[in-house]
Amino acid sequence: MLTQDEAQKLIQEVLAAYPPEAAEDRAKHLAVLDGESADGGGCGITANRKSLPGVMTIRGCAYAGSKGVVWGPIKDMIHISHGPVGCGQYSRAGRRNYYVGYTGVNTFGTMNFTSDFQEKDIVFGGDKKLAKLLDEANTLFPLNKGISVQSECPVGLIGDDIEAVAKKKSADLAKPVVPVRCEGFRGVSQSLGHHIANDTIRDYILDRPNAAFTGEAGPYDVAVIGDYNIGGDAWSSRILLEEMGLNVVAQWSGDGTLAELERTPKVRLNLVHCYRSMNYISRHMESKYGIPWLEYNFFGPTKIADSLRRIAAKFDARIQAGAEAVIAKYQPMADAITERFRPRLQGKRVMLYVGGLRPRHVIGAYEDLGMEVVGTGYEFGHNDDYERTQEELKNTTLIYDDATGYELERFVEQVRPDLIGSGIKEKYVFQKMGIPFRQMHSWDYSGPYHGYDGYAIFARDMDMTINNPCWKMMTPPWRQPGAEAA
Amino acid sequence: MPVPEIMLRRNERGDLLCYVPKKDLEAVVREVEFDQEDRWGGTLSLANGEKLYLEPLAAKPAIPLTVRVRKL
Repeated sequence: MLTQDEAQKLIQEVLAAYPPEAAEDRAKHLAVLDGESADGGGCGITANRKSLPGVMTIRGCAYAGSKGVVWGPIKDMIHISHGPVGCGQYSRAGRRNYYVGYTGVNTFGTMNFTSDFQEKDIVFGGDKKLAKLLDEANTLFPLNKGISVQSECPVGLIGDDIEAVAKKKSADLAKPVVPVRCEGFRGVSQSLGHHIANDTIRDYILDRPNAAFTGEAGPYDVAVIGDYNIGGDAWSSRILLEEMGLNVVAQWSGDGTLAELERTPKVRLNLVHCYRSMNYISRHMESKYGIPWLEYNFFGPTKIADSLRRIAAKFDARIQAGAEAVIAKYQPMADAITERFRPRLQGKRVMLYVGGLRPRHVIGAYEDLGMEVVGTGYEFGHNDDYERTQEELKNTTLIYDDATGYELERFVEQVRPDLIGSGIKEKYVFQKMGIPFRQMHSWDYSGPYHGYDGYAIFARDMDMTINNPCWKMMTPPWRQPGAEAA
Repeated sequence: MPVPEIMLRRNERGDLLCYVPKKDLEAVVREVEFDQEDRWGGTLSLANGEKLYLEPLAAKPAIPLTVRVRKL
């Protein structure tokens, strides 16, 4: 267990390495929290600020937030990376948003469409090329349901009018063509990309004339919002909701389709998993269509049962009975998993540094396995995320917002956790330090981790990482003969 | 002075929440100055210490509500 004093001392040590101005700025992003100090006032962390020049941040850009997160998984639309080829190519199919369909025929999730800007496009503008590209894409892939144009930096810098092109082509092709102004330089992180993407869904999909779903809403229609189906997460969530009697009519946006988006304004309740990336559209649907939304958490049996009951409470007795039946059915399976893995994982300490919802959502799953989270932080969280995090914390926890490479390494060196959960850019640094590591963005090519089925995989993965015999076989550089004692 | 638009909603516990889209700020409204059936609004005191002024409404509004407020 970390004590308040130790943690504070650690933060001071880390800050001491910075020049005074940088230290002053970074101090606002680091904090020590425990369960008791909750006051709802933002827990004293400054978040969603520009990263300091010169530090190693692991944040992404607005394009990553829009194309990579929100728009990308919508499988029956073509998402054009408008600009130079790299942004789309190096992020292609990297997020493992699983979907069902024939890629290149009626779904396009893992494909990369780009306008491949050349010097002449920068000099003379890329609008003509975009218009041609839209026609070509539609001819080659006639089963697409719509096209989104995801701007990369140069498009904004040279002042192309993609809105005009999109409007004209949308009329020509009789399909939605959505211009998304998610140039990478906008905002401080991918977070603004989420917001921009949400706004374009609102303006170009939900508000599109004559596109609204005209059928009647069923009494149990719900939409799953902010589940990107990484490794099949949305599927292992969806079956639980359906089993308790709800009718899941839309998935935003993992394995999602345009028709599902258009269908959503007629649901009874929006179920929000990733609050950070899709609260904007949930708020919009609440104010415009009067659809309430509810945040839920499908990591670990404790949180799943709690979430199922909270969701059921919004419906009638039939659904509530359904929720209890689902919990009763799966709890023995979850208990068996806990019983098997808990002795192997009991008391292990975890440090997390992820984005979106995971820095707080997975805490419950680790606690179910008897592990404790000693540090957590968001790449691009806002104040409301940290407030929500505080509610999840039980013991003293180090909090780091937009942590720099240096800070993370120092924290890990001092805290020496048994497991680190972060992304690919951090993975090898910490593995070479001899500390077990799991990627908590992509589930390390495993998954799903959501739902009861996901818990089984989550527990197995954590066990096989922490108790892997390789950690005993490797000698990190500082333990090698002749090296100075660390 | 900028006139921010805010959205008011209730969370699961029934607290009134104020959301300022421009700032991506979500905070609990600790106190509403006039909280009567025929008069609702006035100074809204947020949990983060900020105060916003909402021209009092003639009736208790339906939540969720999107309104323009003044910063105090």
